Amino acid sequence: MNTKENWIEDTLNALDDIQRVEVPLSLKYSLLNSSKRKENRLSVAQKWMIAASVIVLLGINLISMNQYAKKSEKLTFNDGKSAVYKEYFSSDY
Amino acid sequence: MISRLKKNDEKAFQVLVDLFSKKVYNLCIGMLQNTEDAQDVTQEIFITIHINIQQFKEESSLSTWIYRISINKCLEFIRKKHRKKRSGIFKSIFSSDGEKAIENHSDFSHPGIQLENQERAKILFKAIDLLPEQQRTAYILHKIEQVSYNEIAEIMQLSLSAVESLLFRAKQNLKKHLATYYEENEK
Repeated sequence: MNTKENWIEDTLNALDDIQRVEVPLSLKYSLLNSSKRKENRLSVAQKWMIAASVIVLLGINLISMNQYAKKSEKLTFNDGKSAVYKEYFSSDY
Repeated sequence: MISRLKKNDEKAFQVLVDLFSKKVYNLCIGMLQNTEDAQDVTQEIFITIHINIQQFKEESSLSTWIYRISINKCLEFIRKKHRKKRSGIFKSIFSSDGEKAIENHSDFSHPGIQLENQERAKILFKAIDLLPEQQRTAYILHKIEQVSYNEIAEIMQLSLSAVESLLFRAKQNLKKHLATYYEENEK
């Protein structure tokens, strides 16, 4: 074996006596609490429910805005009609 | 213990943390080559285990199932990180994919390696980082975690011969990367 091959072989063996690292206490503490933290997380079904209810709310708002606009349009049209009628046919003069 | 875990028994979960936290954390360090990232992903893994324990069908051992979750989470994290890097670095648009080299990868000092081996381990970790996903996973499981070929096959859902071939190719590729590094730096 030449120097290069020796170097490659030695580098490949660098992990041979690797020691397991201890888990930091702070991490262990949060791991033990991860079962409690789970409850705060939303499931996929819950997320879909929230999205669906937001869409329903937006839809209701859009429909009611549309209906309100139509109604007010009708009202202003009728107001104009009655003003013209009053102008020509009222007996106030 | 598994039936107690499925019933959301907190004490059983504590036992699980005691039994597997070291294994999972060390696997994450090896895969992610960053202790802070390893801590974040370890937390995520244990939350996933707690959420999905009901779906564990006991077709494999608990340890195999946990290793499988851990590897998937680590690979997911690495892919996300690479995606971020790709979109973040403007100059990467102009660089070609094949230009990967050991020099481009950050230094990582594994806390479990003896001082005299640190320098060489850093170079080896950089080379491991250049391996394709499956080769890297098999190599880390075998070399760092000392998992048997049979268990690696179960974890990665491959045949024994596929694992042997993955490890063989991983070693060949590592030798190639190290040879290039030697030519450029050590000569």
